[in-house]
Amino acid sequence: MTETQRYSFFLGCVMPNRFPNLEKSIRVVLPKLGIELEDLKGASCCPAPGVIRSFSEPTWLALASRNLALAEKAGLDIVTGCNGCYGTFKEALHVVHEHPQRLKEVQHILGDIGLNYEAKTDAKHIIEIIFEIGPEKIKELVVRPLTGLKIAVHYGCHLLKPSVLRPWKKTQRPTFLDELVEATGATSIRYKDKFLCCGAGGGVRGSNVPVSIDIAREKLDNAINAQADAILNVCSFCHLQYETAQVQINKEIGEMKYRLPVIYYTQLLGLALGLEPDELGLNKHLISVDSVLNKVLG
Amino acid sequence: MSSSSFPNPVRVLRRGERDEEIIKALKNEGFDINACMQCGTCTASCLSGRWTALTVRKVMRKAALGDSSVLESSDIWMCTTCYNCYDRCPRDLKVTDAIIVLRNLASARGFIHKNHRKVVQILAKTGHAVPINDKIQQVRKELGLPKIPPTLAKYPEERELLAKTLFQLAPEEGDEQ
Repeated sequence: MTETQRYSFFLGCVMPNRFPNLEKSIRVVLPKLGIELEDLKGASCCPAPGVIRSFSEPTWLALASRNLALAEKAGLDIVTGCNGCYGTFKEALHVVHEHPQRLKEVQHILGDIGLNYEAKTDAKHIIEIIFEIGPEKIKELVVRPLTGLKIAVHYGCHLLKPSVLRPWKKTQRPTFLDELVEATGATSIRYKDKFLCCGAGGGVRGSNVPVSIDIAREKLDNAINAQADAILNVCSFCHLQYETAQVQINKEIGEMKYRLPVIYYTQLLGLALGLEPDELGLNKHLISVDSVLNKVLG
Repeated sequence: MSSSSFPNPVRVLRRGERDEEIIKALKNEGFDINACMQCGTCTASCLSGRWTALTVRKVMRKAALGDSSVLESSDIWMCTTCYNCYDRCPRDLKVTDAIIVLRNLASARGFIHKNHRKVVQILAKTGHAVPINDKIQQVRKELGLPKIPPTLAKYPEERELLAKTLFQLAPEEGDEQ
């Protein structure tokens, strides 16, 4: 293994407060890859790029900068497992880098709570640091190949866009997450509208639930029609959307029609690295993942 | 030619009728509204447009004309901020960011959904848009994680400071939509 990397782990809201099983999987899997996580103590909401940035952009920038300033104080780059938080930090850094006046305003506001801020820290997604290690290296670490498992990969919007502010190869059809999935031995399947949004972002899940759920339902139908064993994500909000949408639709139609397991990348990787399902929080899903475990563990 | 020749004539606002604040806010964000050639790539790329009445091209046109009805309509709140329009605009206009600018203006004038205002209020109170609850504390414990995450949930005195100092627009101002 290469030298140990160290990051400030930013949790956000949905991950620690709704799906701590995802947090758990990150905390057990990343050290196996030589990545150490230090808690970002006292971090707030990122804040949410949809609702809060829409309500008051200056408030959004001040709160986001506070979180970044806490990481700066710890002398580390920030890492998050949520696309929304990732988007907020990337965009908030861009705003102050492009507009020195905005940085001054933010520094003034943060000064009032005794925080220094130079906007020197970087924000990364856990998938970014895993991809830096690379699919080839991951393959070497796999002890339980997930052969035969068919995965519908969902990237999520803010991981990829706006593409000018993201580190990935500029393309409408990225493959980095598919490569990481296939490194575990699983197959990343083709399915309709793979790059479509989950329907939760921008405050739509908060204000227009029927539309939001209907978008998720179409994505789920597309994955199910392509015979996926599970839909995989790298964002706690997309994860929430796919799990709760299925529960809600089943309730509405009065039958358990939707039972597509929703799996977070570090849970999949953890299985391939030989970790036990309970260690990865796979026993805490709203939609049972037993069908996946039966296939993987035999 | 009279406008009646067209089934849906564009409403041209005369000087004085235009909401200059909209035009100014977009300009301040570096958005050159006159660069928009109304090609409709944004609308064609729009996820929400498949499900809702949101037509991004029309939103951009209304904004360019300073038509304040764009702020009062719920259309701008149907955007999931997927950034397809932003990434695909042939004039490199930051379309999604423009929608965020319009939402900021709408919010400042009180046009905000009650659920969104609730989220802002929860954030001001707890430091999180989605706060911890008893049920999840139990799940955390079963997973071997600390019951209270090491976030603001653990530091109440910091929470108050944050709500007092960092909120640039108070959560309770304005009327509810």
